[in-house]
Amino acid sequence: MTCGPSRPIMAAVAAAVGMSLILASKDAVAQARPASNSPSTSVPTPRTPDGKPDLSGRWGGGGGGAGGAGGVRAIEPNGQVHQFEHYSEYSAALAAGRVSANAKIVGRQPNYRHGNNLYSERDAGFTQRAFGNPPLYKPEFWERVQHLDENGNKEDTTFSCFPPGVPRLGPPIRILQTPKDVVLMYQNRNTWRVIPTDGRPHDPVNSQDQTFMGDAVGRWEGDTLVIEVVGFNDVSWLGWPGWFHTNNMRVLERLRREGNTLHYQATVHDPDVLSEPWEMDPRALPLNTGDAPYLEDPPCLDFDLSHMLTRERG
Amino acid sequence: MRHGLAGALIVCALLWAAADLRAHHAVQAAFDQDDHATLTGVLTKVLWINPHVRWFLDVKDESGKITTWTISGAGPGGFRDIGISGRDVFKAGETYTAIVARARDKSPNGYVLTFILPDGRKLDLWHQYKSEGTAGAGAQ
Repeated sequence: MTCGPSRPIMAAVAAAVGMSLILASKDAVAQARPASNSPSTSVPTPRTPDGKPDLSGRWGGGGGGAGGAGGVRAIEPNGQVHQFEHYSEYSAALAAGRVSANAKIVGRQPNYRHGNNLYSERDAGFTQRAFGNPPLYKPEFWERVQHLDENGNKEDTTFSCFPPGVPRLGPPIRILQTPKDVVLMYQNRNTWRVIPTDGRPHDPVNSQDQTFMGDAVGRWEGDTLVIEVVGFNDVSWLGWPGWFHTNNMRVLERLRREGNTLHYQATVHDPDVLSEPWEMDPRALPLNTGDAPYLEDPPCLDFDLSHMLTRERG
Repeated sequence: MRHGLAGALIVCALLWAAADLRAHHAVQAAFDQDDHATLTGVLTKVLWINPHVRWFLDVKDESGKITTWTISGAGPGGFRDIGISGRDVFKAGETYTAIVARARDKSPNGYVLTFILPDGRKLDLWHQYKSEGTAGAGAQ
């Protein structure tokens, strides 16, 4: 696997950008933060009675409620700043007279960078285009990718509240494993997938359907659960910058547990439009031993699309 | 060194992948952050939905005509993470003032910068501040 002489430079730039982002991204902090009681891969990988690695568990930082989001501040007219983790703590302080009613309550998104919503949005767009590990499309599709990217507000169906689909959905936040199947659960739109691991082939009907999640079957290759998915529509995208796919796409997802870390990786085979299979960026999620409640991801309803007069997005 | 670089790349991978699902916003395409409106009216409904929370405010003009404004904000997850819920802070039937970035098409839609709650407290939900404690556009 040779990547050319520019690879180290790109990696260094990417690392620098990544490190600046880590200060700003709540989700990333939650994902990267070691969950309690989950030190590292030095922990033996637990196994089920049939000897398979036990993927069961809650993974990463998703699915829970409060914490790590920057909290609520109250800024007094004299500039004094009170910091609270939660609005209820602010309310209690207000009731107790520790904060004045004249204090401005600040509940902004802490992951907006540069202290400016507009700059943050533009920067997110730039980052995804510049450092996004793009799939290599056949030359005759380059203009289409560019067109879709430039008109993403209309063309990217996630803007219209369609599901992201596999593999854009990413790794699950919780896994339930039985001897015959594996259930993958996602925070995004309260989604779940049931992956049979009993050796059955693709369903002859479902595998010809055109769905966002496709028809999936799983098999164990050593300690790695390999999920093959076919039967996709061509509505979802692989990623934000116009990365479309066809309904002949085949996705191989790989899940591997090492100690208390879950590794997720997906490869996209779409030879109708891609020059080579696309390796999605791998993810590594720590075991999350917290017990915060799982909260509903509210439904998505678009009100804005008809009011968008520019093509800007981020 | 190799581990350090690999670690940095994994961090980048986490960030990019996380960013992809989060970055579904095109606030600037629909709203002009340099065009503000100050709206005072009765809050009739709050929709705690993705991708943006929606408030519906009945605003009466000088002639008595009522216009229902649809006001957008951040996603519900962000509010939930800091404990701001629909019924705690936003009560239907009460009067709120919203300072908003107006819709570019001049329809009665806006993206909230600041709410003034019924008891007069200010709740600031928009960045664009030179320094903490110094209010910028829309917050004074």
